[in-house]
Amino acid sequence: MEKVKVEHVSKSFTRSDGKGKTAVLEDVTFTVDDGEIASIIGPTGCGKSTLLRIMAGIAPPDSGRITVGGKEVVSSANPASAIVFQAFNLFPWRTAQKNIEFGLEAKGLPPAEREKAAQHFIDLVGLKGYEKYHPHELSGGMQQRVGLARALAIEPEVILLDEPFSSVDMLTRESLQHEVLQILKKTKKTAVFVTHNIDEAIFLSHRILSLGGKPATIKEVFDVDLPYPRDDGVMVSQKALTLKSDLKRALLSSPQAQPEEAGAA
Amino acid sequence: MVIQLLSYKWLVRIVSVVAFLVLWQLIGQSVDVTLFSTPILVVGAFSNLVTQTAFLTDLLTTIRDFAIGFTIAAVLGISVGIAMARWQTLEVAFDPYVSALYSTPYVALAPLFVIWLGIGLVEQLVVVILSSVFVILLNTFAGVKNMNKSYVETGRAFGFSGFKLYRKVVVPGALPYIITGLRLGIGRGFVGMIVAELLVRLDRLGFLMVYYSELLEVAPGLAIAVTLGLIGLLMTEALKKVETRLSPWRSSATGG
Ligand SMILES: Nc1ncnc2c1ncn2[C@@H]1O[C@H](COP(=O)(O)OP(=O)(O)OP(=O)(O)O)[C@@H](O)[C@H]1O
Ligand SMILES: [Mg+2]
Repeated sequence: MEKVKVEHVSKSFTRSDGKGKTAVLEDVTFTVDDGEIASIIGPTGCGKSTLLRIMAGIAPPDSGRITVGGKEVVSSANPASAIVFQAFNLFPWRTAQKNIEFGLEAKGLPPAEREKAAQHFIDLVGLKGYEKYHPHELSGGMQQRVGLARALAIEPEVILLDEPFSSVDMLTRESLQHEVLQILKKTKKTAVFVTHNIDEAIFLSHRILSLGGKPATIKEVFDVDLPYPRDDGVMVSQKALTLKSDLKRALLSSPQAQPEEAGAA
Repeated sequence: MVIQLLSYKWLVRIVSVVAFLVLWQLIGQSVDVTLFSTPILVVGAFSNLVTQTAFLTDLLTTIRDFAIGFTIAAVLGISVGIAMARWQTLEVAFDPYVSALYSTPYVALAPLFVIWLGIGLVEQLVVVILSSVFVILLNTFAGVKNMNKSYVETGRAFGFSGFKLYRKVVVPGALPYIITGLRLGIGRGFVGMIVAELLVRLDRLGFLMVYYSELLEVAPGLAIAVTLGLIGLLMTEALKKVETRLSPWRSSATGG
């Protein structure tokens, strides 16, 4: 069953000199099934974050529409999806626990219920004992756990993750990937990852969409026909290696976005 | 660790105060009493002031009036500062006035306020408000403008909007700047008020201070000055406490 539908989404930005517009996304269309983990890969600057922000309802598309669980996303009020940011975006004045409760406050949950829910997700992401710490007292990996718990806490139908592991070191990255995958499976969440790491995309997803071109659209869709858990054995299987080289080709064939004249969209 | 650090800080403070008082006493003793004074004489003068004049009532009135004026200035400065950062039209419309009014020495205008408003609570409040409101406003404005854009975006992404977004995200995000503005505002407002007392109102502690100095009574003059200094110190320290409570990630921000 389709959980997320992205239909003919286009987006352009007015250039800061006011002369004309840069088209970033054009006619982006895809769906994500219930419980599916999809990854979007693409070269830097091609519009992945822009697409995710549109899906989260933070930025409106110029045209096209997004539905999550059958409901159209028009703004980020009462969000049906939750986003995990590349740069964590935690609130430095809030403790880990209060950061995790943030989305629940918007929903108007009473304090006691917020605390209970937050505690559940603190345990889930392995932050027990760090409830009262402020972000600046936590490591990058722990901060991203808070970001993840904050997103999970609002019980979203879909969780959107924008390069969630790119600001942590390689070891932390690997253990976070494992844990996040386990959490997603356990909670049966639908998830959309943005990444430009091919291995990460293969490790995590059921399906990989490659975004590219200028303006960008969905170029190719790859089914990842590999069993979970994707341990080292699976990751070096012939199937995985073939997929990897296909993805590499897809990434390389899509040139890096360059500033150039583009007609008004 | 923290406790050690605190007591270390207090140790240095106490030593510094004691050394200062001893030095003052030694120097004071060697100078003519009509020109200078000693801490012991100042303490004596203080107790005389308290027992023999309206010193305490005056002091409390001054503090009360200042508290009223400063509260109004804080509410005004913070809300207009946020509004100007939110609506560009307001920014464009108000900016020249704010910049001009910010650097106006209101104390020098106090005689005019007396002509317009007479001597009384209103004139007193106007001096305090005008002296402190603009520095609060400008710092609040800078705090909202310089705030990390991602805070607001994240607030929206998790379902906040409108007034609640301001309460939950914008105000706490700008708080280090706002507190800096309040701290500077306290200084400016309090000085403005005392100077207005000694220059135009000719009453209360400001005037009493000048009165004793002109009689060459250094000790009571200094007793009043030290009292006023201590009040300023107390207010600033209280604000610092509030700041470390509310924005622990950042002990202070700079701002004009
Ligand atoms: N608010 C904005 N105003 C103007 N242009 C923007 C804005 N946001 C993004 N862009 C432009 O849109 C393009 C896509 O940006 P986006 O951040 O979506 O790329 P990305 O694929 O996420 O890149 P990366 O992999 O480096 O994160 C860029 O060329 C960028 O300059
Ligand atoms: Mg991005």
